[in-house]
Amino acid sequence: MIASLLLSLRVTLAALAVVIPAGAALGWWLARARSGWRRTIVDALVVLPMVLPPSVLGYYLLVLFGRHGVVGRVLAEVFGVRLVFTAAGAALAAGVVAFPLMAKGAQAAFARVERELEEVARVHGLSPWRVFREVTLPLAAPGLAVAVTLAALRSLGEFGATLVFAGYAPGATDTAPLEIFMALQTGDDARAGRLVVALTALSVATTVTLGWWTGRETRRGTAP
Amino acid sequence: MTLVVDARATVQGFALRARFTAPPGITAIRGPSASGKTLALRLIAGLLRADAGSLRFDDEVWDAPPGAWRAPERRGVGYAPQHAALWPHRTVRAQLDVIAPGRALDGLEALGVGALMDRFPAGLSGGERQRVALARALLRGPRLLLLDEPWSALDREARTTAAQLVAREVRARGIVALLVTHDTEDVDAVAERVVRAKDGVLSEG
Amino acid sequence: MTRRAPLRCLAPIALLACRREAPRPVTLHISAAISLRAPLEDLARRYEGSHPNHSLRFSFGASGDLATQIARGAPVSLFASAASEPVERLARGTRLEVICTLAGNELVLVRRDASALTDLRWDNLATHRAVERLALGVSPSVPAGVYAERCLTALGALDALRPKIVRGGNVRQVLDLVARGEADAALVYATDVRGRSDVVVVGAAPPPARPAVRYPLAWIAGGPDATEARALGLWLCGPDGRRTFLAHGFTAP
Repeated sequence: MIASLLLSLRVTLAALAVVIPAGAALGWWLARARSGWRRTIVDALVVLPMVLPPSVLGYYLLVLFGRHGVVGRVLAEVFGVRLVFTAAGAALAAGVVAFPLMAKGAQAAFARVERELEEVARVHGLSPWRVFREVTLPLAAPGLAVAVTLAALRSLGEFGATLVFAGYAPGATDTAPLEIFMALQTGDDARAGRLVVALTALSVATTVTLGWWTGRETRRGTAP
Repeated sequence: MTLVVDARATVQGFALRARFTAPPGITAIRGPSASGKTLALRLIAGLLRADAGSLRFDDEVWDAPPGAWRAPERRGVGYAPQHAALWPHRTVRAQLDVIAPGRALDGLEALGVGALMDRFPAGLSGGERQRVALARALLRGPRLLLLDEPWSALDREARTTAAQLVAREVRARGIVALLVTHDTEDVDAVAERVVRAKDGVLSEG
Repeated sequence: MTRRAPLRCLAPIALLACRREAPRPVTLHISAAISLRAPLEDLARRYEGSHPNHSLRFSFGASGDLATQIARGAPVSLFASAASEPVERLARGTRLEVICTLAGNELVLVRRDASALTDLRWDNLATHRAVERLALGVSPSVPAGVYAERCLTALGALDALRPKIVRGGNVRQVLDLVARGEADAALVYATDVRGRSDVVVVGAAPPPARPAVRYPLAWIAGGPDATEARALGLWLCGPDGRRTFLAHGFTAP
């Protein structure tokens, strides 16, 4: 059981390592881009994983990243990288479902930062990167923290797309949600129950930790 | 050091056409609301780009489509916007320090910002915020000062003090200053020249 | 005259009772191992043809999963399992009766159609370099997975192959993994690969390790339309059923 939970944590952390910066970047772009066909298309693509049922998403991941998939073929033949039946595949599935939550949450957080505050920093000598670090990021931080929390929880709980795409490979893809399902399937309700309690505790701990951190930053005065 | 403006820009359907020269000293920009005064300041600050024409300062080309462009942070401008635009998440001391690390408030004591250093903008009155914004604009020793109704929330006495301080700094450093204002008394008190703004057209009156 | 009147009143009522009633519609739910899909759908069509008021509904899946569902109260009248363990496990908590063994099957080794695997055989399976992933059914819920593990154990190859084993949720999924290239080889039933050109059959398990694949048919007591279900079960166990299973590549039980 511990192995499952540790795998879930590893998969989630791996997924977040990509989702947080990529989602924040895309969220920032969505918040700042001018409306037009480009923004509409990007927006639709970002939200797509949320719109699709998890098994359908898993299917599309197979089409793209399976052994004979458009990208998977290149990964396997050129880089020797396999995704199905690996923890990397589970992380990909978890990352894909968590990405929209991070991106849209980040978009909302950045949109709330008044442009004028950034502009006045720019005029007074701060490079765009410093403006982002000194002004935008601290002001967007509470909203970003919420986005990260939602992305992390979604990642921890990811099941459908993982099962269809990454498959069931004990030791590699048997995250806690998958193990709960398998335990219920084989009638091992006791084991399922233990995993449920543990996963619930992990989720609550994640929420509380991120909530505490946000509260601390607000009290410290780095958030409005 | 002279600012030479001869540029056109269209922003959200509003057509701006500015044509004037500003030598060292205070040049007032006067006109009714929505005549393009703030837009002109934003253009000069580099917060928006011209569609045609040019914007020069001294021997530097700041904006000349299609290719010439100098980023805002490299123009050496001090900008006090109409509603101060202080960063809510930093103390006065911290935000002044980000812009001009280690720089002391020498010469700016008259603005009375010293007493406000450890306060957050949320705890300041409108007038106090404007004084901080002015200090911020002057702190780096800018070459060009852009002031957008910078003392509208100050009472008569504070306004006079601020205006005199700005005039003194401008004279002492020989810098160019543009002052957008409604107040005719301002204009008479400190401005050496006037640019008129009407329906998006700015020209020397 | 008055004394006979009651009898005469009864006459029309007697007529009513004697009138033949139209047969009421019967729906039978059958849970069956997924490898039995083809022959059972075939048989179902024939049975529905000769019993127009019958409607046969199937749940196909891994026998272990199906047994769990029935134990949890799924309204199923017949259970065709790919092994006896799921039926035995179910019998502990559910009243049932095994009517017969429907058929048998062969466990075969299949592989991807790739040049690196052309020399794959049962005797070099444990050490073949090109076999990076061997797909089996999840154990213990998929009988094909249990049979496969027993077979490999008998060959002394299970420990060597364990790090390469990947799992499918039912035997069809296992086959699909090889077809899709996600696994290099798999152990499935001979009947699963009939007519498929996307995988290559290496061969049936060698005699000392051959598992005895048997399909018991259990009648679940207390299920809906239990009498009709029993009748269907007996028919499936009869000559029509036997002939159909053999025609689909199954062996005699």
